[in-house]
Amino acid sequence: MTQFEELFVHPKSLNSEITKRVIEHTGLTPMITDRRPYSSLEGRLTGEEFSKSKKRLYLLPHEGHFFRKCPGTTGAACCNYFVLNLGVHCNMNCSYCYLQGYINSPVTQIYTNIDDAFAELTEMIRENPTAEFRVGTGETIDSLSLDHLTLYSIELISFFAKHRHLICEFKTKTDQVDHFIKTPHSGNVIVSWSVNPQKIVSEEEHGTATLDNRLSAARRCADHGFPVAFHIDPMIYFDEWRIHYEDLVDQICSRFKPNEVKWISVGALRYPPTMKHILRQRLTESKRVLTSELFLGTDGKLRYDHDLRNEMFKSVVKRFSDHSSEYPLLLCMETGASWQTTFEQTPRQIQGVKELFDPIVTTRPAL
Amino acid sequence: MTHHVTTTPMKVLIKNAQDLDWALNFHPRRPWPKPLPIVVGRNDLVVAGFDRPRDQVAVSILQIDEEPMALLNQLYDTNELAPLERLRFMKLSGAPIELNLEPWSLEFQNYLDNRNLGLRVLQPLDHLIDWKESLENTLMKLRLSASQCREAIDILADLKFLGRDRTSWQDLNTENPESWIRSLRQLRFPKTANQDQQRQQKLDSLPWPRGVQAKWDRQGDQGVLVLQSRIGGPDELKKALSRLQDMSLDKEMWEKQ
Ligand code: SF4
Repeated sequence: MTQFEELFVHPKSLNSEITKRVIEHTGLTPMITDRRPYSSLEGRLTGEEFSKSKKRLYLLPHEGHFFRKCPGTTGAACCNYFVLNLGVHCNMNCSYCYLQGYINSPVTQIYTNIDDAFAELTEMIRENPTAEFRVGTGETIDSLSLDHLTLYSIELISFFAKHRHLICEFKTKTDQVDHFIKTPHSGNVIVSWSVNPQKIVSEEEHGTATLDNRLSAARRCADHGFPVAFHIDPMIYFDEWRIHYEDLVDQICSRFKPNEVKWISVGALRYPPTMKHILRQRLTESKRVLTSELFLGTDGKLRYDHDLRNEMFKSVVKRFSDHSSEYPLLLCMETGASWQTTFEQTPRQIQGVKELFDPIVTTRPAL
Repeated sequence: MTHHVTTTPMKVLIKNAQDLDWALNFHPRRPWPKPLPIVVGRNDLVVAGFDRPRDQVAVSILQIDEEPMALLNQLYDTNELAPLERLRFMKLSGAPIELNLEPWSLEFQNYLDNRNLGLRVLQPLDHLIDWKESLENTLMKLRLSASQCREAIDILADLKFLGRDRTSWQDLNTENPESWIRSLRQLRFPKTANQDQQRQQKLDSLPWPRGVQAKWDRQGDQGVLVLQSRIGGPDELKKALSRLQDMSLDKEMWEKQ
């Protein structure tokens, strides 16, 4: 994982517990500023600047709304979901990371005012008392990779313990769970892992936990009563993809019974064409993500050929069903046509998956 | 009330072109209107009329007593310059620019600017410098459209990252832009191209009703069957549809070989 080399703190965040912990943990002397550091670089970062931005940390309060409706993808059968961004950027380094085409901040940011997020969510609950909000924290930052600094997981678990009808999802590629697994919870915080065969972890997911460590961490969570979920996403095509993905499925199934897994989502590599430039600039040894045969999909993202995607999804689905037909599978960011080809049903026709796609009544507009 | 009237002193003079300083020539695409004199700022730095011959002993100049950079900014509106022309202009003031222009000939830069390609589209050029000569020659010879140019530059950069060498694409048939781009795609996406080709072969082997043409077409991330037929009236349409229905376009036809 990337080590921070520079620390900036907003004056309003100076007295926060997080700031104290970060200083203690990193040993860095903070520079106090209410202006975004390196703001002259804002806009489109070069590959080099993007890499550097992972080493600069800025602690600040978040202004405005914390919660956003999951934007999904045009034409995709996307699940209904709110994202809670408690920071922006990641200290790991996956070759395909979509943040490369999305982040234009020259610094990693952690928001120090989670209390405001809780206040906002409380208001949302007050306005829609029966709505079963599902909230994910891993969209613009890994839910747990900086959690040793923020300890937000513990606060979130405690908040959601009081609101049993809501669901919170931590999404991670780390194995950092031991600091929160003993926190009393109501079983409504799902800890999910993005997983890939170890070959892909080693070659494409730099600085992340090994597959074995991720699955062991998931096991520890399940043993402490946390529901767990897996995202086999993005599936990446390579010559022996089938054997490796089947082996991945076997590993999951050997450690988790179907009823221990909340869902398993499956998706394939995709990114906007505009990300190619930064991919070319940041290329490490593996060129797979850049040089795969990808074509423009109807949602404007580069994807594998439709048939290849379906072949990959089908092989994973089949392997799971060889173990048990009870594993709750869903396709992420895929079109209705892909659902139809892979499952012969659309998401709303599949038991166990249907409810993930049911709309939530809310007064908050989708952003 | 007082009025401040600023008048910039300017004179029309005759000078030897060789005595002028031409250092600010950023090679604007459009020539300075012929009837107008060369414009120079302080220290006889030329700011307009860069295209004029420099060996003439007597040229008409308009000398303006102002900072040459300020004059240039008044004469050229960056919003109106073409993308690469704008970069050349920005380079004069030492501003950091997003693309290395150095390797590319002015003729090629203008070729790209005439297609008004945005800088994002041109960024892959930074990875293609080794192929400069063949790339410039091929693209200019082919007279590609803007979208063909965009696709070609992107594919060529991908081929570079795929480790292909210049010879892999240099000898492609350059008879016309469409077939050249098609061959380039085959090079870039060999697996998919091969599968698409197999599907076309399969289509060719099927007994299509007379007058119906079946083509396997790649549309983005999907291959689709495109049927074409000339229908002269409702009866013909009925016949064609019923014949098509009789054809067993079984599952196997859609699956990869
Ligand atoms: S873990 Fe997620 S956010 Fe972090 S680099 Fe990888 S893909 Fe990006």
